Amino acid sequence: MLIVTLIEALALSWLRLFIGIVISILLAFGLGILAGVNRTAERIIIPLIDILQSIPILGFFPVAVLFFITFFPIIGAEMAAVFLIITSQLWNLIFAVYESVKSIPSYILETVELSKLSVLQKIAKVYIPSSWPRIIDNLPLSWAGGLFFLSSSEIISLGTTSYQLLGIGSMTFILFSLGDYNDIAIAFLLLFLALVATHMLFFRPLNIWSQKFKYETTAEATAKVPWFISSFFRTTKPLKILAKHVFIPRRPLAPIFKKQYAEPPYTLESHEKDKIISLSKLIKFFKWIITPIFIILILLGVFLDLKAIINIVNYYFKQDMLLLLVTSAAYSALRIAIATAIMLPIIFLAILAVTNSFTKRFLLPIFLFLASFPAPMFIPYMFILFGNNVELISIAVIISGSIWYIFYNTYSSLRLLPSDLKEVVELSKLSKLQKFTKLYLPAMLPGLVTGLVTAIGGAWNALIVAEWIQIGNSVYSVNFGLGKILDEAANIGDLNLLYASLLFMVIIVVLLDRLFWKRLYNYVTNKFKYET
Amino acid sequence: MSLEGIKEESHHPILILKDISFIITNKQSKFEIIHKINMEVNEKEFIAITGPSGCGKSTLLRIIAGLIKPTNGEILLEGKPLNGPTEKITMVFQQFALLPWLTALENVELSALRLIPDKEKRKEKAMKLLEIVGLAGFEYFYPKELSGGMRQRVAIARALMPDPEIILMDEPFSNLDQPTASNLRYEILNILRSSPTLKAIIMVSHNIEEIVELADRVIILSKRPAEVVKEIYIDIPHPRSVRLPKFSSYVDMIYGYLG
Repeated sequence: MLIVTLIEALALSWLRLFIGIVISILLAFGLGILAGVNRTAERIIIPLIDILQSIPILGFFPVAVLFFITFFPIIGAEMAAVFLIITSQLWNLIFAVYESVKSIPSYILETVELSKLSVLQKIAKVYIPSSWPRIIDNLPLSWAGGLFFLSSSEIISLGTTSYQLLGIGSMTFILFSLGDYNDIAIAFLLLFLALVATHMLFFRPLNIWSQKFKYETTAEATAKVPWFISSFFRTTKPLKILAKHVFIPRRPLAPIFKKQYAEPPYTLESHEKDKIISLSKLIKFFKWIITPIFIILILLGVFLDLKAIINIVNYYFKQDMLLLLVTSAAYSALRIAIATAIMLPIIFLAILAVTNSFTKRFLLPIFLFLASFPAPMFIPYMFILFGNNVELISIAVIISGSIWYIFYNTYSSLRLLPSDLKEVVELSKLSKLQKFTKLYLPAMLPGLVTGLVTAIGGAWNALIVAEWIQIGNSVYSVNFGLGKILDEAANIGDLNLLYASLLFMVIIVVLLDRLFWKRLYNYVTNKFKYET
Repeated sequence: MSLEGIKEESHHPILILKDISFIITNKQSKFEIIHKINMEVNEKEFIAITGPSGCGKSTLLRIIAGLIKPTNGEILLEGKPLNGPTEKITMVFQQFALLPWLTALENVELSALRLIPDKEKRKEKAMKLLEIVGLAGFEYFYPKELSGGMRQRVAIARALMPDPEIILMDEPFSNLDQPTASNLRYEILNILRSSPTLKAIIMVSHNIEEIVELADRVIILSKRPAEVVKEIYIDIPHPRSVRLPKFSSYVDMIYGYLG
């Protein structure tokens, strides 16, 4: 019976996701608390995770598979699958714990200090309880992250070795390759029901439970993804100027939103700071870009060996490899840009969700639910919708995976909008457009930037799923794309090519992040913050 | 009649601050927050510290608590130098600082988790303290279910839990509405005065009437860097009524030094 097999597959997939999330929460407590209380640990963990969450972990997967299968022959494939699921669930949870620990009110920390609790007592009585609300908030997101890579983790192929685990992710693709649309519809329905049940029976009760761990005075944080703010980035001029003149209207809401510098009380005035750009800071700046790349290289070196790294470096100068990579990256970037442009109007829905009670009460829960639906599971249906146009499908996959980040973050930013500001704007009888430019746009900017960063970061990751699709024995692929190269390399088992392209993607993501996003983020959050 | 009459120095100082300075160094420059403060706290004394906002009074309180290390100078508690937090000094905060996921009872127990390892004894003592602060029957309520005044009572019970010698209070009444605050003030004074181990109270406040109502001595600090501008003994028998002419003279005098 197909239905029995499907239910079994679903149960197995859910079990993998559940094990993954439990391990992720444990790891998040360990790493997040460590980064939250220890400065040295913070300096290492946060930038590293910042990078790790925005690079395609999938690229490391073949090595992990080899590792697990070699050392645990019987359950190695299962372990590898759970490992991949964890790599898509873990990062936002670490940030959730880290942010929670960092935002424990100072008087609570002082009380704990004065009560002379032991380290374990502090963790049990303060750090873990403080982290629950954000962890629970992030669970649906992590679950969705796991689901996103479910198909990829259940169908493992590396060169000639390939494994297929029973699970709903692998079943969807098997059913599609068999071509029976009735069966696919049954699988889809089951998945749908399982997700509804998970939300109703798991996330909702947890969410209610987590309310008791909230500090009353703490405002909810805007950012799902915090960035390690190095004071240096605020002082480097070119991008600041660029940001000022190009991206952000100059103080569009000056009378309502007072400009505020997010600086501790005893620091230098910002104009004094600008003067102090010295050579040592320049060196520091390059360190910030180069260190993560170095760490990745070392990680590769641990997994592979030194010779492999030399091979990778050689690879760039062989057979016009560099040219191919650059061209592919350009195509991929264009796809991401188009996808971003298409999904951007979702911000108006976010405004509706805070202004219109119908949207808030009925549409919001649907959005939250849709957000947890795994984009790759839609791929078979996209073929029905778009025919065999892989370009359209890849853009659609990127959108379906990223759009909710923009919606979520914009929405949570708007939710912080004090009601008196809304009332002021209502009373002053502004037109819809004026309301948008004077109130809602500035108010949503911090969340919008966070959303864009997360969405586009995720999009680079999603390229691997979007640009090269294997169903049964047929392969559907775009002509040029970094994701395509990575997938092909994994498929033919060319590890050198795999890591050469992976490293290339890491460098692009890191550079974009360090040179552009982080600064835009700092600028926007400093400028459009309410005075508390 | 001089209001600044000096009380006889028969008391033995329990806490001594010697040349306390606090400087924040920021890569390129230095900010002096506190400049050479000397202070003695005698047994059974209620000291109030006040000064212009942002002058560093709360920082000074945290230095006394051992939460912040002073850049220079030393603090002697009963003749012994103080290094970091100790059970002998506890603190009551403006924001009450209760953990929302712990009941009133568990919040009180928190400050003696290590000091009293025996669960039964700890619970018994916390119950007794909650009764003393007038919260018998509210032991298993969560902070969210209590009013502001009740929360501050829980915080006071928690501060009393390790049998401290000194209780520090950082604007303890400024988050409460007027009637609640004035009710609580004298009650607290009595509760604290009746504690067998407590030897002194140091309160930071910018409410001058409150200071004149409660304190035996007020220490007025200057703008940053904070220095002691003036020490005034408040010589009015308790309970002190706002309507006494002497009361308003003290209030005016303190305002005068605050500039």
